[in-house]
Amino acid sequence: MANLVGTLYVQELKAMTRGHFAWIGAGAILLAVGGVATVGTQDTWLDGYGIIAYFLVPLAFVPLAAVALASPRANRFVESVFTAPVERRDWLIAKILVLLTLAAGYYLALFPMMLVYTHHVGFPLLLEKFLLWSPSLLVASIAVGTLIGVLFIGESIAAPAATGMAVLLAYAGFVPLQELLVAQGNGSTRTGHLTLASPAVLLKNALGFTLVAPTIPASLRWTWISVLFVVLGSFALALWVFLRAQGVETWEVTRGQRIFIALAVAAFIVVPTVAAETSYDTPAPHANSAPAIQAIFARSGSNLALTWPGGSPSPRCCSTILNRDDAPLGTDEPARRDLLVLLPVETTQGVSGLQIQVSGENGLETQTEPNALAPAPQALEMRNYVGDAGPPAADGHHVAKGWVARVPVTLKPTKPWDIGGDRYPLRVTATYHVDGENTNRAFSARAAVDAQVGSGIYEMGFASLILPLICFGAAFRRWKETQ
Amino acid sequence: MERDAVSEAIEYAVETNGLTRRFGSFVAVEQINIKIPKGHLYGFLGLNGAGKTTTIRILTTLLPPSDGVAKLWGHDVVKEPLAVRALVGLVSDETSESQSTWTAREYLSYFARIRRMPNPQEQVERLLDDVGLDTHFRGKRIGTYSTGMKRRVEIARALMGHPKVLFLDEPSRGLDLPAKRDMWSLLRRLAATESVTTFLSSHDAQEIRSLCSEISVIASGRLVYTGATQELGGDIDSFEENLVGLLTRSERVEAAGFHFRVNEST
Repeated sequence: MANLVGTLYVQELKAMTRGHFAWIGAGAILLAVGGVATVGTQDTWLDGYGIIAYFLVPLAFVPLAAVALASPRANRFVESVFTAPVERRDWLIAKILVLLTLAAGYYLALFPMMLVYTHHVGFPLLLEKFLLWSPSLLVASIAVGTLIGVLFIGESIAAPAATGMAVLLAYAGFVPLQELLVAQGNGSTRTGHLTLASPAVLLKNALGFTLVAPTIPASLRWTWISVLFVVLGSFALALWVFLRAQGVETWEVTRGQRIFIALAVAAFIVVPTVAAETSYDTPAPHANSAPAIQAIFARSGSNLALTWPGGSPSPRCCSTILNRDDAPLGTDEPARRDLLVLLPVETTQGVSGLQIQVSGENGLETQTEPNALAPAPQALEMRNYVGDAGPPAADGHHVAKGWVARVPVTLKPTKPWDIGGDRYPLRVTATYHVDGENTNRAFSARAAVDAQVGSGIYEMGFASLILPLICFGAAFRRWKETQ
Repeated sequence: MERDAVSEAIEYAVETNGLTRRFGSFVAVEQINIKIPKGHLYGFLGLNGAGKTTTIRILTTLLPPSDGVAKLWGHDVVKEPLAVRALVGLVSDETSESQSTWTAREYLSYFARIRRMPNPQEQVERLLDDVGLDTHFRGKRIGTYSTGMKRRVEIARALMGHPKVLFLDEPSRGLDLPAKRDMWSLLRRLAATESVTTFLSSHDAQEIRSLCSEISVIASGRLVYTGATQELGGDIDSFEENLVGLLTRSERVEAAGFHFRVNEST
């Protein structure tokens, strides 16, 4: 048996590459995924690209497996196969092995992009979890897709393809819904239980991580049992239906068998929703080493601004992300900028004795000239603010025309925790004296600079092009050979 | 050796007894009894929907019977499907079309390998030589072939592994006259050189009469005639007249749609 399964496996795998759009399709999918990986370098890579590549695309193996199983019966290729001395069991096993091989191929195809990422960033927990979640999802998707493909015998692949797509959408949609419910403390509600019908949710819980929710289930045993029930159960039911309840292209089922199949399919939905754990009591682990700098990203204004040397702040000044309207800083590259400290003092009042301190956090190195940190009063600039855009003064009114201290600073973000979208906190404190007042005033402001791995986009672009180009080359070669 | 002796002792290549197939309440074939001696070219005539394809699908293990027994070279189609599959070749209508993006070589190589034939590439070339597919086309996609070329590829696949019984289900459907005559010539040559039992299913009276020495006629799932072809008529007109008579005598015949074709050129 093993030998024939091996032969069928090799032949079916070769057959997969002969489709009209086999190589072009593979190349297009990998190019799209690689494109997302490349664009993803401009912001938090794992949250953007990671979700698509390690979660959504693996779920697409549900319709893919359904179609792969249904199409040889829809186009009657099985007539030729099963008039050769071939066991149907061997053929089905070979088809499943081919799908698993494609899944493994897809998983491995993500490695060049991942290596670029880990080279710069290291191995954050979320990536570690994605690397386990993705293959588990691939296997679960193939199991469910195989069952769908087997259940549909007909002259068209439209029904299994549509069913596979519907299941994909449901499985995918339940993940953000569950995250939202858990974040709101409603993970154990009926709707919270319903989301566990998705193997993606089950596996996420079982692997002990979340995307945004703050907690994970405290116990995992029944979650794992539910996962195994759905995955192994789908494979087992598909095998049983294919071999015992169907002929090559016909249902050969008794009424009792029909009821059993319906109950088994229902059980794959109901059992996880009832049995899997929903006691979301354990704090979720940190997805990466990103600093906890809450509130700094609020859309409120800031008393700080960052410009090119000698430049003026943008009209939208001033965001808490100091370079929001400019290019992100490159990590491990020194960047010379002017930091503008917007003092909440009208220019009708004099300012003296200004002492400024600038410090970066979480790996942001700052260098300033000592003289620049103690500017003379005449070195201060005046700035007119439009409307209420000025910083609030001590009495609460917004400054209309205030003093600004320009501090040349060299910023060097280091130790990035993502390839893009790294936001390094920057703290500025100052003391100064306002004419006519008895005590010095204290100034404190916190903002952030946006940074990314400078070469990330080019390296990721190169890494993401390698396999698509090989696929397109193979497509062209086959086209030339068979013309 | 012993097995060969047993095979020699078996008189019939195909033998059915009370073969019946139901789809729900619809009876597709009912109580079919056929005995085809080895090496014969046997015709199976009937209208569209009469039960020809269902019978062939049961005999080739593609469809389990609801009742009755079918044996090929003594092997039960239900109990010994692998043994039966090792003995049969099936030419169905346009199954190679499903793999239109493969080349003929790839298509046949697939089957040569899953049949674990020695030297599969050589076997593929030999079979393609046998069915007369031009070398120029063998590496091109099947989707670019004419209907006749596709049918040659199908026959080559069916002949793979030296089958003892060859089932041909409407082999000339969709072929123009020259291609059809070419096909007949090919089948006669194969019957002579490969000495296989050939089960030819068709609703083309001219085709059956031209190729087969013995026939069965099936109408609405039941056999209404089994015997020598010549007994039904010495020329095509009397042959068809007798066929119509047989079918109209059948209680379940659906007269509308009766359309045996006459080849005017012969």
